[in-house]
Amino acid sequence: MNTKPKSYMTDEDRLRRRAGGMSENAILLAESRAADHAGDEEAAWAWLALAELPAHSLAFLKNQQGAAFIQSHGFNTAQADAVFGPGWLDRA
Amino acid sequence: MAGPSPAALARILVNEGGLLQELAETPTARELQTVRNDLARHVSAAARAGNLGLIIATEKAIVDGDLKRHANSPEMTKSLATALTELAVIERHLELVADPAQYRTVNEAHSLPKNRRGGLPYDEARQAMASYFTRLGNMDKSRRTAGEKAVIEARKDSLKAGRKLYETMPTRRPGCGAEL
Repeated sequence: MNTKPKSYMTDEDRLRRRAGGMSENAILLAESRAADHAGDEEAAWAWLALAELPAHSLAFLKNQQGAAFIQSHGFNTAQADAVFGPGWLDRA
Repeated sequence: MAGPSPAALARILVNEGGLLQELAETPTARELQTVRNDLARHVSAAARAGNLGLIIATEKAIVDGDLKRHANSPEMTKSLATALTELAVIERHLELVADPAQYRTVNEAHSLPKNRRGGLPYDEARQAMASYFTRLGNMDKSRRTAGEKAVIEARKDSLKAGRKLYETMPTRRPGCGAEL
């Protein structure tokens, strides 16, 4: 993805986290929370979709929102693919 | 490493304590704490909405997440699967209790004094809620961070609110077939 979702974090917020040793992946999750708090649900989902999430989180999301939701939002499913095997999203 | 002396054990435990504190002070741990506060607030808001269906749906999602996360632990899985069964029982009773004719049958099937509490049937939904509440209480006792405990407290309060809502459902009020 070339264009990043809208950010609701200040540069200072981001730098402080980075300086404290927070990983770039965790910063994506912090971006998602900030977007959620600003009331921008789409951006909150978009930031989550960029993050590398554990397999169990994607299995949960599939249950709650459906496989099509995961696909249309372009979630990073690398870990889930590795754990559940390719095609896991299409299986019942 | 030295032998298993009391001093060696003390060193290991003090080391663990120091590292746990370090971990809790990382920006990621603080972020996690704020997200758990979000969760606790969300659960409380759902409870305040006064809708038992929403309270149960919220619990179901939380348990589903736990179930996926602990899929590798058979004991945990078993306990969480029981929790989901209890939530399903409560959901089914929401349908029964919404229909006076159906709930009359439930009422009649709970005629023995031991199957009644406060004059009303101690039906499977009430039993499931009691069991579920105990489960949350037991979670509270285990080793958890303050953030996790705040979430459990909110869930317990939510269940209490749900129990009250259920007790006052129209078909369970006297005069609506709930008395024998």
